[in-house]
Parts: sequence; C-alpha cells; structure tokens
Amino acid sequence: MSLTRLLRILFWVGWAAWIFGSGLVVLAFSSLGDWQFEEGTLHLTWQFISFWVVLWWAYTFVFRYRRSVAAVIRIGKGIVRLPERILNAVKNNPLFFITWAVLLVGWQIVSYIAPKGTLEHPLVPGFDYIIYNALYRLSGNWDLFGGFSFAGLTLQFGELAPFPAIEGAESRTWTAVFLALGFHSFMTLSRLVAGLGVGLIAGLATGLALPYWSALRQISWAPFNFLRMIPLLAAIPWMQFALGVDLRATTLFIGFGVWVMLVVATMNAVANVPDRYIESARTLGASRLRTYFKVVVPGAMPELRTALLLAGGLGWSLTIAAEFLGFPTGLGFMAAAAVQETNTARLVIVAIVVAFYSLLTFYLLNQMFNRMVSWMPQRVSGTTDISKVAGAAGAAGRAGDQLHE
Amino acid sequence: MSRVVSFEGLWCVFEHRSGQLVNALHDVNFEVQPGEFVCVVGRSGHGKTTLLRVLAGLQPPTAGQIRLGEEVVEGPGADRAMVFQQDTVFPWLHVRDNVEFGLRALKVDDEERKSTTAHWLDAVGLTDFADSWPRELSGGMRKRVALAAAMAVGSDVILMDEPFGSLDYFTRRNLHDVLLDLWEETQKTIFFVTHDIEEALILADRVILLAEGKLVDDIPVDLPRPRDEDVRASAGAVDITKTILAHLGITEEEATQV
Ligand SMILES: Nc1ncnc2c1ncn2[C@@H]1O[C@H](COP(=O)(O)OP(=O)(O)OP(=O)(O)O)[C@@H](O)[C@H]1O
Ligand SMILES: [Mg+2]
Repeated sequence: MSLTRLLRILFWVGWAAWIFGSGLVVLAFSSLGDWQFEEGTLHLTWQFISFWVVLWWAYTFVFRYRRSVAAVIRIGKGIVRLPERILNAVKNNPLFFITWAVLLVGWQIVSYIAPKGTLEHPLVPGFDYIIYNALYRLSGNWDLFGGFSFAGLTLQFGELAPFPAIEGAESRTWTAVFLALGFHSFMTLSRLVAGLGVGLIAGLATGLALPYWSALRQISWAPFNFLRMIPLLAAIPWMQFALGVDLRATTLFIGFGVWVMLVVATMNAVANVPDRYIESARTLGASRLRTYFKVVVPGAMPELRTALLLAGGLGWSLTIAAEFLGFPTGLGFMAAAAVQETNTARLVIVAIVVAFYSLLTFYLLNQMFNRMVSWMPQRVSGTTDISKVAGAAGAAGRAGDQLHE
Repeated sequence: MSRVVSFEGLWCVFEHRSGQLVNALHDVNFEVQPGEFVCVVGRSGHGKTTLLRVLAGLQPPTAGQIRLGEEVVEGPGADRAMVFQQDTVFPWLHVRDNVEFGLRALKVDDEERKSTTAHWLDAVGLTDFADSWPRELSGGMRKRVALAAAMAVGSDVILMDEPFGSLDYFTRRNLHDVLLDLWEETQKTIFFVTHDIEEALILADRVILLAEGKLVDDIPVDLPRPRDEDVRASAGAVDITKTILAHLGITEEEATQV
C-alpha cells in the first residue's frame, strides 16, 4: 500500500472520529454552547449547533487547507456569479423561463377566477395565500415534535424557537416555520439516505455479483423480474404490519424497492458491455476477476449512471409514499396532514419543497457520476440536437424509398 | 523462449440459427517457426478471424488442437496478445494506462512497468499523447495504442486481425513500417490476417491461404526486405500475386477491374 493511500485512509478515519469528538468537545465546555441536562432531557440551542458545525468543519480545514480554501472560494465565486449566470441562462434559453413565468403567472390568475369551493381553503391557492397563510401557519408544525431520544438522551429542540400555539397568530414566527421545514426535511432525508444507501449498495453488489457466475444469472433472472413487478405502494401497509413505523421499516422498504430495480438495471448494463473489450483484456493476460472489475464495471458505468439516477428518483417517491401512510414526521407526513385538513396551499408548499430537493439530489448525483465517467464526451442533458437525428432518420427513409423504386 | 506454433487437424464448425452447419475451419494443419511473419489471406467469411480466435483461446475448436511448443492452447493468455479488427482501446483509460493494462495484470513491478510503457509509447510514436483520452485520438492513433498494448505484454506470439483494414493508405503504410521495425527488433512470431494482397507482400515471410475454412496453399514469400515498390513489381512478387488470385478464384483481369 502506498503512502498517499495510507494518508487518505487516515484522513477519513480521523474525520469520522472527529465528527463525534467535536460534539463531545462542545458538550465538555459548557461555555461554548448553551446546553442543559435536566431529568434525562438535553436542551440544545443554536449556539450548540453552530459551534458544533464550526468544529466539525475545522478538522477538514486543517488537514485539507488548500483544498478547503479553494472550495470556499469556488462556492463564493459561484454565488457571486449567480445573477450573471441566471441572466445568461435566460438569454440562451428564454423559452425555458418564459414557460416558467407563464405557469406561475397563470396559476396566480387562475387563483383569482377559480371558484372558492366548499373547503376551508381555496381550491387553487394564490401565492399570496400560500406564503402568508399556509407557509406562516407551518410554524405550528414545529411543536408537533419536541425532541427525540438518542443513546439514552432525549434531545430537546424546544429552546431553538418559541413553541407557537396552534391557535393565535401572535405566537407564530418565521423561525419556527423554517425550523419546522428543516426538521421535517431532515427526517425525510435521513430516511431517504438510509434506505437509498442500503438499496444502492445491495443493488450494485447483487447486480454485479450475479452476472459473474452464469448459472446464478440464469437462475435469478426470472425471480428478479417477478419481484420488480410487485406494486410497491401496495406493500406499504404490509411493511407497517410486519415491521412497525420506524426507521428500520422505511430503510427496508426503500432499500427493497431500490435494490430490485437496481439489480435488473445493473445486470442489463453489464450485459451490454461490448464483448470485444472483454476479449481484448483476456488476451492481454487479465484474469477473469480482473477483467470483471477493470473492464466490465467501467464499461457498464455509462448505463449504470442512468440506472443510479433513476434509483435516486425512485428512492424519493418511495420515501414520501411511506411517510404518507402513518408516519408522525417528514415531508410525506406534512402532505398527509394537509390532505386531512383539505389544506391545498400546504400541499403546494410540500410539492415545491420536494421538487426542490429531488432536483438538488439529481444535480448532485449527476455531477458525481459525470466525474466517474469523465472519459466519455460530456454532454449537458437536454442538448442533444434532435434535428440531426431527425435528419439522419429522414435520410435513411429517403434511401429506403430509393431502394424500393 | 520462442516456441513453434502447430495447428493439428483443426476443425471449427458453427451451427447457424437456420440449422445450417458452417465449417469455419476445415481440417487445418500447418506449423509456424519462431520469429516468422505469417499472413493469413482469404476472402470474407472464409475463416481467417476464426483461425486467430482459436489460436487466441477465445474460441474452442470443434476438433483438433493448437500447440505452442509442447503446450496445448486452452484459453486466452498474455503469451498470445491480440490486436483486434475492431477498436478495442478501453475508452475509460488514458493512453498510457491502456498500454500498461497487460503489465498490471501480469503484476510487473512499478519501475519495469513504467519503462516498458514508455518504450512502447515511443516505439509507436505516441509519447506526446500518453495522457490523452482515446476519444481524443484518431482511428489510426488508436490502432497504434492497441499495437503498443499488445507488444508491451512481451508475448512471443502476436495475433493481428486486419488491424489496419479501416485506415487510409498513408496511415496504413506508416503503420506497416512501425510494425516491421518492431518485428525486426523483437523477433516475435506474428500472425497477420488481411484480405489485401499488397499488404501481405509487404509484410509476410509466408502466406497461408484459406478458402471455405480449408488451408488451400502455403506460399513462402522470399522477397528481399525492405519491400519497396521495385521489389513488389519484381517477377517473384507478380508470381505470388497470381498464385494467390488463382486460389481465391479471381483472375487478374477481374482483380484489376475491381
Ligand atoms: N460466432 C459465430 N457463430 C456462427 N457462425 C460463425 C461465428 N463466427 C464465425 N462464423 C462463421 O464462420 C465463417 C468464417 O467467419 P470468419 O469471421 O472467420 O471470417 P473472416 O475470414 O474473418 O471474414 P472477414 O474477412 O469478413 O472478417 C463465416 O461463415 C461465419 O458465418
Ligand atoms: Mg474477420
């Protein structure tokens, strides 16, 4: 093992240790963060969280100083250039923004002329209603969940923002609104990450292992295609009966869905690697195992990237769907509660928030995978010149016509 | 340690979907001495690729066997590196890593691997492109990468299946010179498939003619090297060309009309 590799491993091990260590550091120096421990309840405040976050990054900064500074500068430049970039994007692709503007303005107009309906909230809520009524009232979702238990400690978040009473506008605060959104997002994200993590790892491992032994591949093909046909949404109640309503249940549920989809996709991607690369590697003296990891896996990467992106999307919809049915927290719960109250405006908010997160996940995953297949000619998605394809098809069609004449 | 390559009663029969049986190789027997440059010539679909694939160990023969010295060929290995008809340079590896691929598989130590790679990159004239992606190279340059990768593993037998078939005349001539230099330097045994008679005359010590999977003739090419225009226009060369064309079932007039 080379020295750089050893250092890299040490860095990650140290970093993982530091995440826990820095939490303990803050707890040990009570002056750093206002925290109290009363009757098994730990009261946390902003100071605690901010100190901890600062310390958390401190390690990375010290050990990867140059890179960290470069990253901060890059992010800063990105933010500074954001208006310019948006302007450029508008110039380059005005249709995209016109569509959005038409949609948003159209929605607002419809909200004025649509019938109010018989519900408590308007059928088509305008943005004024969505922001000043529904969003503001979300602060009431903050006290639904006061704290949670972890390793024998009950963490109390109540101090972070005043508990707003459900009744009475005076106790509502925007802080509580964002804490509520942040908290429920955090719950959803942790369920997603746990489930997706299990699903991705298990799916890739199974999908790569099965084709290696051709007997296994032949045996498993039919069962996997059968499993893939199971309607996952119908399995949610079953999951709750069998496993209850907790992180383990969602992890297994999301993990299962992603796993089954990914196994089939990975096996396909592996099967589509051109034989000539495999044969070439073999005549250059590579063993079967080596050929598999150095040729088949990278060769399958372009197709795997698509599969992994789809898996990310599937993970999102499974998480929201699972939360929709019977969980007391999360974005899916917010949506379910809104349905109970026929609160259309809050549904719109949840939809926007979820859309934002899934776009962000998609973007980040795409960036990561692009780096993994940097050997391919890079194309920004959606820029394929379809007229070229149409031209080729047209030419082929014409050639065909000439043949028939 | 170069070894004699012997083809012994080699048959390769394929059954097509329609149930029709195709004798891709039909009782092929011959022997190749170490360091010989053998060109395998024949019309399209007459078993040239199959012969190389069996020798490479990628295709089990229906009957018969191939021996390297005393050892019977049973599977692919680095002692018979192959340059394929199609583009087989791994697009996910830089040019240098492509050339290093076989050396890494053979667990050659770092220093030797680096010097060998540098040597072969230099030999095919790609030192300046060592850190490029294959997609940034032209088709001819990629063929040179494949050639360097095959040469680098140090096998004493090299198999080449119409490696320059898709290249233009000038690139092809240039690569012929590169290949002949490498061959003279290393004294490897080379099996070179082509359907271009001129190419065979430039390169070969010996031409193996295949027709419908049968070895129909084994023609020694004892022309002086280097094989420039004059040599290829000499009476000996014209005779060989005529013999080959006759076996392929084409008269010289037909050939010139094509
Ligand atoms: N995998 C296969 N399955 C069935 N038939 C095959 C297979 N490979 C080759 N053949 C048959 O064997 C015969 C010889 O094929 P081969 O590829 O060796 O020809 P070739 O001389 O290399 O031709 P070309 O010059 O066009 O490359 C052909 O008739 C072909 O149909
Ligand atoms: Mg061929």
